[in-house]
Amino acid sequence: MLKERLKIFVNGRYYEIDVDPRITLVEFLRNELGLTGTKEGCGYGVCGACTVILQGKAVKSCLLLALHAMNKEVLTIEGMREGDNLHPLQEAFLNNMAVQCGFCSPGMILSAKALLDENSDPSEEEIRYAIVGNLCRCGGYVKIVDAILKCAEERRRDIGT
Amino acid sequence: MELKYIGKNFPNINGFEKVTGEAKYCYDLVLQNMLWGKILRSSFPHARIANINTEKAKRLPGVRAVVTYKDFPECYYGVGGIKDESLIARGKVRYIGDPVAAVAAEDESLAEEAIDLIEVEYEELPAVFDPEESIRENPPAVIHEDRDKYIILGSMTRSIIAWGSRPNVFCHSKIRKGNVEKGFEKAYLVLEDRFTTPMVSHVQLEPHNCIAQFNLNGKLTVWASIQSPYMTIQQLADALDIPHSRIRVITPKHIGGGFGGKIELTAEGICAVLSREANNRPVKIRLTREEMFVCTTVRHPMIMDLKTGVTKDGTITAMEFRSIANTGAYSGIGVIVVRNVGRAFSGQYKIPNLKFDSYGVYTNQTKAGAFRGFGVPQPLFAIESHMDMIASKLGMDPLEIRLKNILREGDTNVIGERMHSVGSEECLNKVARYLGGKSEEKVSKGVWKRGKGIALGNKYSSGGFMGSCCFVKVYDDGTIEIRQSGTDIGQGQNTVLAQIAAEEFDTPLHNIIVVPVDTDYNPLDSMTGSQRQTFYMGNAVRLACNDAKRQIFALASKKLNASPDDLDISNGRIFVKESQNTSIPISDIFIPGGFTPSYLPEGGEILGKATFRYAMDSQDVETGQCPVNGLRRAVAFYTQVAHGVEVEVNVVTGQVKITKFVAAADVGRAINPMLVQGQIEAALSQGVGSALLEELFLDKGKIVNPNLVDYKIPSALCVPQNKDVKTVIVETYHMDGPFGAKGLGEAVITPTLPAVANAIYHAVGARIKEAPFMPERVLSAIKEKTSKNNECI
Amino acid sequence: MMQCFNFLRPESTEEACTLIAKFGDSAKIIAGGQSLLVLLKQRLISPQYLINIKDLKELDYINYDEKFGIRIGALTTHRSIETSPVVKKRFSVLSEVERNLASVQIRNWGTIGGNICHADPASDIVPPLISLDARVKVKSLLAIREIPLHNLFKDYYETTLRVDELVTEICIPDVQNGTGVAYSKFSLRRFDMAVAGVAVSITINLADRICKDIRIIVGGVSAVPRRVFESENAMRGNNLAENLIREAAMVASEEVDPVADVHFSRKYKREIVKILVRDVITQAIQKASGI
Repeated sequence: MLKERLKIFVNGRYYEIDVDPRITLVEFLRNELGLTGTKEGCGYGVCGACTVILQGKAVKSCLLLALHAMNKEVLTIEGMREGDNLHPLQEAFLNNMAVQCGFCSPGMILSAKALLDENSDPSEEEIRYAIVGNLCRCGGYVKIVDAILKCAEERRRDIGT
Repeated sequence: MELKYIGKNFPNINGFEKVTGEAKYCYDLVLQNMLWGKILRSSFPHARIANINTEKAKRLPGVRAVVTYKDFPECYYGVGGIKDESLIARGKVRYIGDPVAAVAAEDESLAEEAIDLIEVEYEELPAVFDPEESIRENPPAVIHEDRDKYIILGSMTRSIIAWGSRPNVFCHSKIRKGNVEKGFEKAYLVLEDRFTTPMVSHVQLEPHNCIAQFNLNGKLTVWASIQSPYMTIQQLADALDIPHSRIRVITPKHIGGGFGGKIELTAEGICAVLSREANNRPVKIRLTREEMFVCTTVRHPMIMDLKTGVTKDGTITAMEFRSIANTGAYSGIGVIVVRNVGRAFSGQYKIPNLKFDSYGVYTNQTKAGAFRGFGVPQPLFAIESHMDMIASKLGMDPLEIRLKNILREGDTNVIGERMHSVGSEECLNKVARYLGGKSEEKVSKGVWKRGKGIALGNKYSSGGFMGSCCFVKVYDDGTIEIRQSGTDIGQGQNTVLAQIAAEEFDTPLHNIIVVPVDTDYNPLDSMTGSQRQTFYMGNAVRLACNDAKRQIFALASKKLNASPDDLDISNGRIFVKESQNTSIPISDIFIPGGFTPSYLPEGGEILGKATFRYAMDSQDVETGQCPVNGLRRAVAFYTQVAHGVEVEVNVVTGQVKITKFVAAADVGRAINPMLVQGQIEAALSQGVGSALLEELFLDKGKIVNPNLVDYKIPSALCVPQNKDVKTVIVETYHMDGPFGAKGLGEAVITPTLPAVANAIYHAVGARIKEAPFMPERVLSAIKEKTSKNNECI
Repeated sequence: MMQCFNFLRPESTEEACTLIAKFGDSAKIIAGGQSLLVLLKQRLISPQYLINIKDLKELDYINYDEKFGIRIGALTTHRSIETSPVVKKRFSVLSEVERNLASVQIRNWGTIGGNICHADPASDIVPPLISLDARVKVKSLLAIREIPLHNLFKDYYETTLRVDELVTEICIPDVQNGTGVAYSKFSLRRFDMAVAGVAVSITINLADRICKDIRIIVGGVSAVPRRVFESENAMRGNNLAENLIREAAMVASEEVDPVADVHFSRKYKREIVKILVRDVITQAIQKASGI
């Protein structure tokens, strides 16, 4: 099995690693880079636990070959922190008890980030549209949606818009 | 005295790791020198294993072990008390998915390849899938023909085992109260209906996975994504015939959901044997999502016949109930589920006369087991549907009829318990208030008709043999370390315990550490399940904290020149109660260590230790009654929850949308209100799912939709917007709960099914008695009702 | 795990066509892979070569021209189509369909060409495209040809493409005045694949409310998306009235031959087709009337 050299930026760092072409992006992130924050709940692109941000867009990393991310930028949950501080979304999820078992949380937070980066004032419906591909079995989405709404509101306040 | 840490919304103490991605689940764990395992599973529902040829698999480079039943001890286990299951199929397979062989290899894809090389010859046997066929005296197939040889443990289990004339019935639980014939004679109205619930899957986001390793002196270590490590130990001890003192179970701190489905063994024992065969290298197996659906426990599908009699004013005079629970190929914890179906009756209403029969039946299907609600949501579907149907016939308000019949504080229930901490009335009233009156006509637009429905639910918490043990260590710097074996499966158990300890020591939460579960160091806990952690482990923590304080005060009394009884502790300082000025830091009772941190001059450590148990009555085998002169308590507590739902039903397609959801839950006392809310909101995932979407379909024993595309769970657009969701916490203060708290993790989803069924009825006048309420089923019910109406005209 | 393959990265459409011609049956083309990766993981296909065209920027475009209508490169993502102002303005049905497709993650990476070539009979995007009279440009080393989209589908997950062919573009003529296009689907959850999906393009004479022309396409209930010609004939040339639409819907429901699945019976699916056809014709008429 001929390996391919993958060149990729993950959380701002550059990597060049030989990979089995069959390896999916989530497998690469977890097994090659040890970034186990991105989870795999189904392997078929349904549950959304594997969501990462690729070139600024949310994608399901279990449905992407790692080689498809060649020369591209990937953001995982581990890259969300802003220096020593949590990203406002991470804070919001914590403070609004939007995390129960937490397996869906990384994917959920990244979907939320992709949304807020594009739309700083989403309606609740728009939030639910954005996270419809992220399944949560613990909580019923109430606190997750609340956390995202509150985070968006706070950010608008901070920016003064 | 005002409580500082109880009743406050502290963030989940494990939340930081979860939101940063640092959280390590068992799924993330990789050990040095680890092998990957895969299981070969039966493709027949019932067959003899004639031959297994593993030669080709063994020869594949990279394969380190291939095992069949020959490599396992001939031992059986069964959590519910009937030891009818072996780790790997012996002699025959009993369901599609039954493990037949297993492989350990250097990587997962090699293991997959090796599995494909194992050749198994089966001799197919007739199989039985329909529980009503299986319950007969001459069923199409006998699934456990050797059942007379099975060990049966526990007097409770033994009492309800029914190895009688029906070879596939493994237990029969009864409640007899009063005289139902007379009760029905007195009734003004009697309804008799059949209700059914399907096979449903937990769908934890983190798939089951585990690592096992034997070491050279025969000690087995297991890392697993499981709920109850000591139950895992017991099952492994039985199944592998090794002493429980030689088994260590480590539960990584973060577990991606349990819901009852991570109580029984899945691959742990198989990993253990693979490890032993592979020179004691650690072996990991993680189940695929398909295996999760096919080979892990499901909720017991049930067929229920309920007969209810009421007086003209809606008071229950008698109930007769018969249920058949389909436990699948093995009984597992099913014995207890079958018995506990009766708790739906004892926790809910005053029933003067009851004839209750609950049967557990084997079929050649996936094993059923513990699933949030544990045998109670199913009968509640029947009971709460009947309450509404009766209300409708009598022209009564659904709230009124329930208030008329509910058990209240001090009442005696149908099994002779005296009720305490009963939130039914307040829950129902709150739900009715927030749900509001009937849906306005004008919102029923065109083909979409709106309707509202309510339902009351309850869930008990088991007692008797259950216990929770806890150690609390106090460091010289005031850090409090809790060592216990209850697991945080997302419900916030660790946070609740930390808050309790914080309150006991009057110290900020950041001084409390709840260590991950490792049974080598953490004492026993019976189970994370039965919504018992807050009550049992919360109490154990309190007791252990008090024991620790006793040790501290004994040492400090000399320094402070006061009796230990006059001392208290706050913010890391021990003080004399009467004079706050006289105090010393905890460190003062330790002595300097020189090369090490300071340590205790006597007694080793400040280590508070406690066991919390809660005595129960033993119920009579024939009647289910508690002894008249006993404790009048068969369960630790009941938690009541009420749901109110507004739906929109499309009268041409049968589609159902939930437009409003209201829930009220009696939690005794909310240690952390937001965590409690999070539990109540769970109904929007699992409750709504089981009402409208979820069903595992089988074709001759084969699950045909074992994936998340064809088995659908609610997404963020399947539930109402937040403005249409209201949760209410009711507090009735249980006298023996820690600070009055009970648990509610299971009760929270028990009334959703009937609440939705009742709302559909009020929307379109169609009564649905078969869950889930799929569009086609709803449409059939609407058409049937329309044609009945037409007939009457 | 998937079977081994060689991952080839052509840098131009020409090169891609060369590779496809060279490796034929032993190769599969991968664009976004949102459908293909599922097949690979389940080992339903095991190609020796994967020809990656996802990075061919030259096939990622949305061009509008009043003369030709809209041309969408095969590698345009669903998300690009969803958010394109010109698509929203001129072919709003496509924007709506894309907005409700799968999830945003799938839309961000999956392509229109990939969706079409996967030939899933429940595809949401195909029936509206057919109703819009879309054509696809198909390229091979030897030739470029254009075929109506409707002729691309042969059977479940099977196109009429030759093994050496590549879809490069979807062309949709402008929607004329007096024409309305609508799509609606039925599924258990909002974003699920369609149990049945109906697209209608209707051209009406606004003055006398006569149906000049109509295309009704039903997806999800047969091996390929299906134009229900008898139902169209029931409408064409007639005055638009409630009972006409109901009649056409009834005919459509009898014309299709659905297969039962775990959730729904044949009878129910027919019923759903009837309801959808009626609803979507009504919606299309409203759009044609400028409502």
